[in-house]
Amino acid sequence: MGEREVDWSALPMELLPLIGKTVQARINVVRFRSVCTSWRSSIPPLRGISPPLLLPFPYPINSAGGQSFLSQSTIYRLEPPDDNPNLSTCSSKSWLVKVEEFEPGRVRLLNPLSSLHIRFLPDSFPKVINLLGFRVVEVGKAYKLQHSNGMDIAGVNKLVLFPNSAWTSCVEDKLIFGLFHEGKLGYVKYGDENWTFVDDHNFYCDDITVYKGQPYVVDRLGTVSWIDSSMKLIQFSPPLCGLGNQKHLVESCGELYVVDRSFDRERRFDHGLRRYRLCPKTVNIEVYKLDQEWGCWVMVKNLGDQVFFLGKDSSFSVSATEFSGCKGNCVYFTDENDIGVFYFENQKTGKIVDFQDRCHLFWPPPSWLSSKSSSKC
Amino acid sequence: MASSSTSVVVSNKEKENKNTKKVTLKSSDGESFEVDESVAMESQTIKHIIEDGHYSSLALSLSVKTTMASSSTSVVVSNKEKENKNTKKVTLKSSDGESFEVDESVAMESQTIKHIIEDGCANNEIPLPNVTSGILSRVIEYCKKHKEAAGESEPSVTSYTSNSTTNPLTEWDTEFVKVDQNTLFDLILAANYLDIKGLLDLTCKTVADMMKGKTPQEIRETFHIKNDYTPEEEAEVRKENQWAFE
Repeated sequence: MGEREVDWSALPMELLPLIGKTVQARINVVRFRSVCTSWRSSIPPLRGISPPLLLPFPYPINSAGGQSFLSQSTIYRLEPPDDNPNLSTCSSKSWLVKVEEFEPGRVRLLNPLSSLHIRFLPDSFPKVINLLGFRVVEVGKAYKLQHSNGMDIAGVNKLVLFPNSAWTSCVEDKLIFGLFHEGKLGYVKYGDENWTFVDDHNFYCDDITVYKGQPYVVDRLGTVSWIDSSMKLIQFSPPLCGLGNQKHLVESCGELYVVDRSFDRERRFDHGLRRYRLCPKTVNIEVYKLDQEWGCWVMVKNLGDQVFFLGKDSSFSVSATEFSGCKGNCVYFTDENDIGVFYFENQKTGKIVDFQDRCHLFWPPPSWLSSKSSSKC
Repeated sequence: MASSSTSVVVSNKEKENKNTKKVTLKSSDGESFEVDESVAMESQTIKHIIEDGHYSSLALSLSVKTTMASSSTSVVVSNKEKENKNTKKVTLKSSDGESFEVDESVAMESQTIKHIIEDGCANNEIPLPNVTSGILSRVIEYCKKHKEAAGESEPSVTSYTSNSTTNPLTEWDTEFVKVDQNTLFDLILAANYLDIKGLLDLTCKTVADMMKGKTPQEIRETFHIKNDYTPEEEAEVRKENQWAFE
């Protein structure tokens, strides 16, 4: 059998939509539509979450009522193709970026951990980025609940959209899970008048995520459960019994990890408020993986080249080798808008500004971003 | 007859004649031995299995005593006769003239073939002029594997991992589609022509995965596709792929 070149343009037209529909991430759907005319016409353009999704106000938060808006932001890894002239001189070959596309084609740059809007961009930063010249991979998605004036609603810890594929733009399919103050778990379907709460007095939910197409939660004790179609919680793991104060769920290389975070409870002087107040700071991080065969937790002492991010509204992981010059085996986290990193090799935490020599995956942006790429789109 | 520690040895060939019922014993290293049922029933264990009728295939550890040797081995007992009574077979003929005999139930994984059989048009062979033998054998392999998995009772899972969305064949499927572009292309066309939903979904997803993390130009190079946009369309595409920062 000879090595004949496959003429993919000979693929029957009716198969193109089938291929397109298997694509999950929004950026990949946009890419699919950017290849050639027949591919472009085979699947429709995606409608975004903009205008933001209108939802009822979660009841325990504020009885004043009114409406809330669900806004979406996405974390991407950007990489220039191999023929970019600035690649060899730059320190990092990928850039981790979080953007909120509030209107088609218009984005706000956000800090991947604190989710704050980065308003002051350096002069060298391009006003417009043409993504056709870059490889783009979706790393994670994050959601926020906001007032109509764009202010975040307090008391909302985490939100996930389910199912979370690009094709959930049909509003009827959307289901939103939310974690609120004091670990309450609630959900709402688009069009419902109110949120429904999973009422279990003993249940304190620390984190929620969608893993392999199913919503999973972890409670204060480190027990992982998944939520079935009847909104019942099905226990997936035994309790972790870690010593930390807060548990997070992170997906890495297709596996689900639980990160156990310990805070100190010291009172610190707040210069802004000019008084002492409780400012918890992360002092220790432990990572656990479920041994599915034996049904028990195993502590992970070394993350290899993986870097975990515990963001305010999303958690995700990336591979350090894709960001050349960066070290893996660490966890980035945020304590009230301060960014810290925990290194497993020496079990030390530090504020991001202390480690100047370490490569920062998301700031400052690499120089190849603003160069005029020679590759045509 | 020599005996090894892993094979079952059966003697007494004279008892065999054309009319006796036979059973097939399969050793742990995959060797099959067809024997008279009466001979196999020298083993009380096998005798009970046969009498209970609860076998199509079973794995067990036996200690077998024969006139030659005794050995401890694990065997698979299958009732070939039962198989012959219940499984109908069909023959599929590829475009290059090769014939493949498969169980009817396996062949019916393909909706196209299912309709041919149900319409009563499958007399001797079902010709498939659009599928070569190389591809057809792979397709049959896929159908067999998935039919087997569907027929099996609940695989043993701990309560910790039972989750209705996990597909037990995910790993097998992933290996199955690790093929060159030519084969993948032909598999998609075959799955489409034969109307096998699972295989079509799997191959389409594989093609979609090949696009991940590539620029549109790189995708074109991978799939040997030409950029055929008009300048107006090109401008539209550029707009769709743009971030303007606030």
